[in-house]
Amino acid sequence: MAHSVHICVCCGGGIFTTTVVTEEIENLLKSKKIPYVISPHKITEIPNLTEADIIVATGKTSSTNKNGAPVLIGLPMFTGIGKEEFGQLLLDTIAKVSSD
Amino acid sequence: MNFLQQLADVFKIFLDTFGVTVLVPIVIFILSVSIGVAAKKALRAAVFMAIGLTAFNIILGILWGQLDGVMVAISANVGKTFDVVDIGWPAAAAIVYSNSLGMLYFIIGLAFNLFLYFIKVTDTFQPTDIWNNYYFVVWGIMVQFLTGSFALALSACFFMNMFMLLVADFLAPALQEYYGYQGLTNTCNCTTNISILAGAIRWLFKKLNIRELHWEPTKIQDRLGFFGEPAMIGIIMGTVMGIIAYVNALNVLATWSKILNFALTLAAMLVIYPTVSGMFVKGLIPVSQAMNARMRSGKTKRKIFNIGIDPAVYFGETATLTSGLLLIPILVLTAVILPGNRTIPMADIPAMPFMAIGAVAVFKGNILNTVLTGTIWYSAVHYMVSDTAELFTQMALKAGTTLEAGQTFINSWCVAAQPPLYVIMKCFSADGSLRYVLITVCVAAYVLALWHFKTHRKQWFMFFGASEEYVDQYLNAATTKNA
Repeated sequence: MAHSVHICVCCGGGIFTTTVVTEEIENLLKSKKIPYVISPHKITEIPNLTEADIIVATGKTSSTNKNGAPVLIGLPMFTGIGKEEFGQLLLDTIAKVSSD
Repeated sequence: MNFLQQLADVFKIFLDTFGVTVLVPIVIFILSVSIGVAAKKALRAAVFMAIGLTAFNIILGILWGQLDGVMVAISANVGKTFDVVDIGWPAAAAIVYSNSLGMLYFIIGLAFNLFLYFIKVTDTFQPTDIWNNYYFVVWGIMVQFLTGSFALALSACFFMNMFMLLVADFLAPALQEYYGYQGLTNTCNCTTNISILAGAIRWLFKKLNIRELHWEPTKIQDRLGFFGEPAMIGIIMGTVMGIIAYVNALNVLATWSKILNFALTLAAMLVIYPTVSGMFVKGLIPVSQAMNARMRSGKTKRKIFNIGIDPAVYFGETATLTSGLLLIPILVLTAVILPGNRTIPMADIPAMPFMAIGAVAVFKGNILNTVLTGTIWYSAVHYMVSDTAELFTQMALKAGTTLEAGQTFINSWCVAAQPPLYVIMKCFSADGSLRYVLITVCVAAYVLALWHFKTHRKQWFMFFGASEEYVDQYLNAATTKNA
């Protein structure tokens, strides 16, 4: 995979939960040796994020991306409950996105 | 208290010598390591925190200078004085944690929260969300400025912390029922306090038999979606405020340069904040995570317990976002119209959905009622922001922000938007012996509410919006879990 996957992490203020979830995702992707770019955003930006391959929102949202990037709910990365399952879901989504 | 006073004095000497940018990360590093975070991880976090703090002091000075001129011009045009610039909650957090009481409360507050949780005064485990302590610590620092007493300020912090936890307990079932996050509650004053008024309005509507009108949120959200993005909010609000400021000179080309530059500055502020604050926050994450891990690994025998969480997880829900976005123009308008008010929400405009969360949970997503409650509650807040601006500005100057002092003041609209804490602050800093009478009244009211809550949980949960079925399930699950 030459192209690195761009993940946009979003929460209300783009600050606290975003920073925690970003660190968790970075740890996961580093351990799997997947090249990535990751950036903090706010949930209100979701529809118009053009650079995103995958969007991870830290809380529930019904927002969708206009370019069709999948929106995952990354709360497990914040609370630690269901973290493994979410990690797997994220890896599967990355595999799917990069094969397209 | 004496020991704490001495500790505060030692802090002050270090603070004066090294400055906050050095001292804050050191305190955080020591705290992290002492609760079991690996030294490397703690060091990295502390360094990022220092970087965030440095970056904040640089950008804040520049941005304030830009916002300042427009506020002065608006004042001249509207014929009122708007001399309080809203610099936003991320900046307020950096300022509060740069104060010696703010720093100390990290450690004392953590111990205090654990203590309250274990003696079962509260069912909320707060150490997972110590980041949001600044919402009440800021009022404690104001008590210190007004009275000169560290002990009073610290007592005020303790009291406000207990008050916040009580509201978090009240609201937990309603939040869980509406947003669907089991086992979590919110421990941030900026989102929970409004639920008190929301509960009262809901109760009143029921008494008067007023039928609830429902607005369909998704349609509104689709229409508002584009304008809800921070960059667009900044450009639009900046242009509107710029036009109001320079309305007499719109035929001059240079005026439009001023207006558009102001709009871009506001947009830049709203977009840059998350990145800078994100660095600052990195310092606090290891503590929060270590507490979270400890909480999950321990076999708890508690019947009912909820984990305090940052409100960001509730923000993106449709009714919440929509109510927040609808409140933006309403509250800017009330700020301009209301006599005697000296501020207009600016940097905290994108935070409005946060401030709607407590009401959304109580009203189960009814946007109309949420907006109505928000309009009443937060219009009153304009006055509190105006009233506390001088104190907040003193705090910022002490925290190392360099400002062209004299012309205008600063405050964070969202952080000051806490009517109950405003009242508590006033009681703790009242003159002479009246102070002790008022403090006694506060404490008595708290004890009474706590006792009543412990004996009539169901009523309180339902007052705060949870349905009877859900409360039964909530209380029952608690007993079977323990069996």
